[in-house]
Order: sequence, then C-alpha cells, then structure tokens
Amino acid sequence: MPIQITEAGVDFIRQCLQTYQGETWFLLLFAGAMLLLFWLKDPESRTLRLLLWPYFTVLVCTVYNILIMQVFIRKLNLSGEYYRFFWLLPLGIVIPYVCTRLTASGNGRMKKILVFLLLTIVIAAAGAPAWSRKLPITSNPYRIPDDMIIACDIIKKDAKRERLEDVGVVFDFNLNLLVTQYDPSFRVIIPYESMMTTVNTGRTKTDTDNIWLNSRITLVELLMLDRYWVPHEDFMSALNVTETAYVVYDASGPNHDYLLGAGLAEIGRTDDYVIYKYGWYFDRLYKSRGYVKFEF
Amino acid sequence: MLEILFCIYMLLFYMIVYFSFGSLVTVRMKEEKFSVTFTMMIGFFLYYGIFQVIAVPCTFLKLPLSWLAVIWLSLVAVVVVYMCGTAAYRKIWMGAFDGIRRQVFEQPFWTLVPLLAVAAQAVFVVMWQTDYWDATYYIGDVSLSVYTNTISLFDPLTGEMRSAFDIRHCFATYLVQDAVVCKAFGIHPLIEMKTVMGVVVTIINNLVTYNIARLFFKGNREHTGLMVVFALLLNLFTYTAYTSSGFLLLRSYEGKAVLGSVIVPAVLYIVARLYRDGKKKAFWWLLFLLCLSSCAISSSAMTLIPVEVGALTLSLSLVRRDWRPLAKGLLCMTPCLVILLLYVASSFGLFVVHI
Repeated sequence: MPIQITEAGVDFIRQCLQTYQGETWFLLLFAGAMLLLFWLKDPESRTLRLLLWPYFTVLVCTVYNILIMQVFIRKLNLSGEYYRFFWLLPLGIVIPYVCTRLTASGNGRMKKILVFLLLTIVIAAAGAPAWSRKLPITSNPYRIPDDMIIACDIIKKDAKRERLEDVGVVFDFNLNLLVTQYDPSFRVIIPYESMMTTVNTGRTKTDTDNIWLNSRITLVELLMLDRYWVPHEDFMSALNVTETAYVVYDASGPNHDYLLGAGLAEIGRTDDYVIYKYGWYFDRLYKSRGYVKFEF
Repeated sequence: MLEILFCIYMLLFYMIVYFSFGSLVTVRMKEEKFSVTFTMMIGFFLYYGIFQVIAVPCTFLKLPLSWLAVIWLSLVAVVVVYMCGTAAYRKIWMGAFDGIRRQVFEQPFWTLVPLLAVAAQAVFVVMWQTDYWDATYYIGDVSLSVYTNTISLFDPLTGEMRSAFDIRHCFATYLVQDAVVCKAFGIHPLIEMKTVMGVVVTIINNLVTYNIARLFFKGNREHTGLMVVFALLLNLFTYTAYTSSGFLLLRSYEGKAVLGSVIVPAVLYIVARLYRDGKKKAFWWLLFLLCLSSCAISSSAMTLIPVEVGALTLSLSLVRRDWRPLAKGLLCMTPCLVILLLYVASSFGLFVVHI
C-alpha cells in the first residue's frame, strides 16, 4: 500500500525515507549530479544547469512542499498517491548525463573504461535492482502462472461437455486476480472489489443482511482465507445463490475433505490447485433440461 | 513460437505507423534536419493524440469497439499509404536511412551500443511473469472491452456494466487503443499489453533518451551511446516507487509507465530545444502535442504534466527574463487542465455521464 500524503501529512517524508530505506541512495546521486553541473564548464552543462536549477527550485517550492500539497490534494479530491510527483525529478537525464561527461573526461581508453566501471558500481550500489522483486521467469506467452491456463482449460473442456455457456467459477485468490485478464468469458463469482474488501478488512457476513454479498463473503472466507468453521449448509447455500459451477482451490489448503463433503467432485488438478465441480449445480441443470444423468 | 513471430509483426506495425505519423510533422519542419529517431518519437505522441480525439466521442456514444477499430485502422492505413506513396517523403526517408547506413559503417561500435542497450532492456521487460494487482483493472478492462465488443463500458473490478462513465480514466484512451488492436488483429490482450507494448515503450523510452543525449552531446555518437547505457543502468538499478523505472520494466501495460519514462523526459527535451532554438515555433506546437497526448496516455498526466510544463516554462521565462514562454506554456497545458477540471467536477458529482 503506497504511503498516502493525505494520511501521513507532514510526516510523509520521514515515513517514505523509513519505508524505502536502502532504495533512496540514488537521490544522493541525483543531488551530486545536480551539483556537478556547476563544476562542468561546457555550454551544454550550462544549458542544463540554467534550465534545471530554477525548475528544481520551483518544484521544491510547490509540489514538493508537503504543507501546500496536503491541502491541495485534499481540497481537489485528487489521488493521494503523491509519489508520482517524484517522477518529475530529472534523475534519468541528469545522472546519465553527468556520468557520461565524467567518463568522457578520462584521458585514454583505459581511464575511460575504469571511470565507466566505477560509475556503474556506484549506480548499482545506490539503488535496488529491478530483479530484487524476485519475479519468476515466464514459461508462457501470457506471462501468467501456467496453473491459470491449465485450470481454465480443464473447466472449459468440462463446461463444453456439459453444454454449459454461463460458467460461474470461484477461483483461488491469486487466480481470481488474473482470470478476467486471461479469459473474460468466465463468470467470476467473487468480483475483485468484494474479494479485496473482505480480505483486507476481515469483514464477516454478520456485518450486513445483503444475501448477494453475504454469499460471496462466505466463499472468500472458506476458499481464500481458509476458515473452515462455516457450516456445510451455509457454504452450499452460498454456492447455490451465486450459481457456482466450479471451484478452483489451493492444493495445499486445509479444506479439501470439507469440499468433498459439500458435494464437490475433483475433475482435475494443476501443480498448485485442485479443480472441483459442484454436483448440486449440475443436478439442477440436468433437471431443468428434463433428464437425469446416470453415473457409472 | 507463433506468438513470438506475431509479437515481432506487431512491433513492426507500431514502428511503421509511428514513423508515418511522425513524418507528417517532421518533414514539414523545414529548419529541422530530418531524423528517424526524432520522427518516431513525435509519431508516438501524434498517434495517441489523434486516437484520443477519435476514441473519446466513440466512447461517449457507446459505439461498439469493432466500429472504432474500423474507423481507426482505416485512418492509420490512409496515413501510411499516403506517406509511403508520396515520392517527396520517400526521398526524405531514403536520405535519412542512407545517413544511418553511413553512420553504421563509420562508427559501428557506437551505433551498435544503443541498439544493444534497447535489446537488453526489451529482453528484461518480456522475461518475467508479472501479475501485479493493478493489472486486474488495466488488462481486465481491455479484455472485457474486447470480449463484450464495447469501449470500457464494463468495470473490470466488478465485472458489471458501469452505471456512469469513469471520467478519470475515459479520457486516457491508451487502453482503448490496445483493445482496438486486440480486436482488429486477434491478439490476446495479455500478449499485446505485457509484451508488445512493453517492448514498444522500451523503444520509445530509449528514443527519448537518445534524442536528449544527441542534443546535449551535439551528435557525438560515443557520448550519446554512453548516456543511453548509463540510463539503462539507472533504470535497472533504481527499482522504487520514486522513479518510474519499476513501471517501465515491469508494469509497462499501464499508461503511468509511459508518463514517467517517456512523456516527462520528452517534455524536458522539447523545453531544452526551446531554450536552445528559441525562435523555432514548431517546438511550441510539439509541446502542445505532448500535453494533449499525455492525457490520452495516462490520467495522472492531468496533474503531473501541467506542473512540469509550468515549472519548466517558468524557468525558461526566468532565464530569458521574458514572460512569454510561461504564457505559451500555460496555453500548451490547456488539454490537461480541461481534463483536470472535468475530473475534479466529476469527483464532486458535478459532471456525471450516465451510461
């Protein structure tokens, strides 16, 4: 969650520096590069200096003045994600420019290479590398987990066999974030907003009498937050109200026996998820079509 | 493999289109030597600026996405065919490409360095499995638009049809453009937004850096190449909320990535050109174009770009001891201010457009 200036107020800068400690050393690099513009005597550096120092001063007096911005953002109802104003700092221009000047000022190829390597080390040490997020390397062109693709594939094949067009699915939290992006043809039972509100606030169904919302909260509690104290009838009622046909549940979750007891049957699995089919939903479907399915 | 080929094909499509759009402007700038990189950069902004002018009315008229796709791609086809079919433009293009060929032979290493930097960055951008929560809105919006053949009428966070237009986002038609391309070419939104646009934004980001470097190093290839490399290093090593590098490298499907990494430095470049070549009126028009297209790309531009343009043109006025640059700057930022006004009005419930 980004630090909001409207909530943090004048404490904003301290909170930022505390939270992002270790990632802000490059601000010192920027300050150093801005100061070095005074030392560099060529006309281009002078142009940059004359343009950027007044620009920087105007920013400091206006958008970087926390007291002014706090009032401004609140009065105009603007987004409190104030950090975007930091993008106005010409870091990506001044630091590479000064580094290039310093490298080019070296006499001889070896000296230039040494200065280049030294500056590279300084830049590398000053910030956090992009790969520090430790993201996995993609294995498919959609750049999403393979589980998402396989789970959708299993459900689609089964739904096609059942001649089901409106396919309501409760996905696990991580897949639920992705499903509309990957395949919007599914009817996502837990909308993003309901899911996030329930997960973030720990809201329970006792907070409201809304059946639509209560059913979804029950499903989030059991299938995403792994709370298995929900009675079977409540859970099945939630599946019925939301017209859920399939459930995709975390393979390492504690509720598999519970799900089997509620009339769900496993129809496939991926590395990390188990795909269940809700028997009662299909029973009602067959009845509405006027036939009974025989199972052998 | 097929997907990779399709991505390369889409990449070529974008580059040809940006180049054609950019040429509409840059071949008319008589005092400016024609440059391929500058033309592509301007073409990118012109493309989104014109797209917004067409897409916003289509959005409010609730036209099907496929109609917008037909209208837009017809216009794109007309521009490309007109530019390719005009002998005078072809001659200018050939001259520019001849110049590039000569440079490659004269200084192969320093011509290759920026290209390798772009390639390295592009590989970095496309290699990760990224599933940020924000994508639920941005990519979900495009997926739903394509699936329902509507223009952002469905809310990706609820899956329901909106009751009113989302004024904050509906002027930023960057996502609608992706939906149009997905609808027209049958490309999956995840591939278009994460991979194709990821590489496109990488290229444009480097084109802006390259042009800035060329300006401040007077076309010196060695220094220009070095600055591009240092910019790449800085992007790779400053992953934090306080730079746009994280967005550029990992969340390029959001307009904010373009705002922070392309538009903000491009505005600085244009103002630097105004400082150096003050008499060239064309650069004021280009600044206006940047402001217009910035709102078409990211909704955050409605606050960020007026601040940047205001602060830079005020600096220009102070340095020159002349108030006119500031006045012109205020005129240039009009598109952003109009959209900001509409957004503020909508946030107070004074401007609501029901669907």
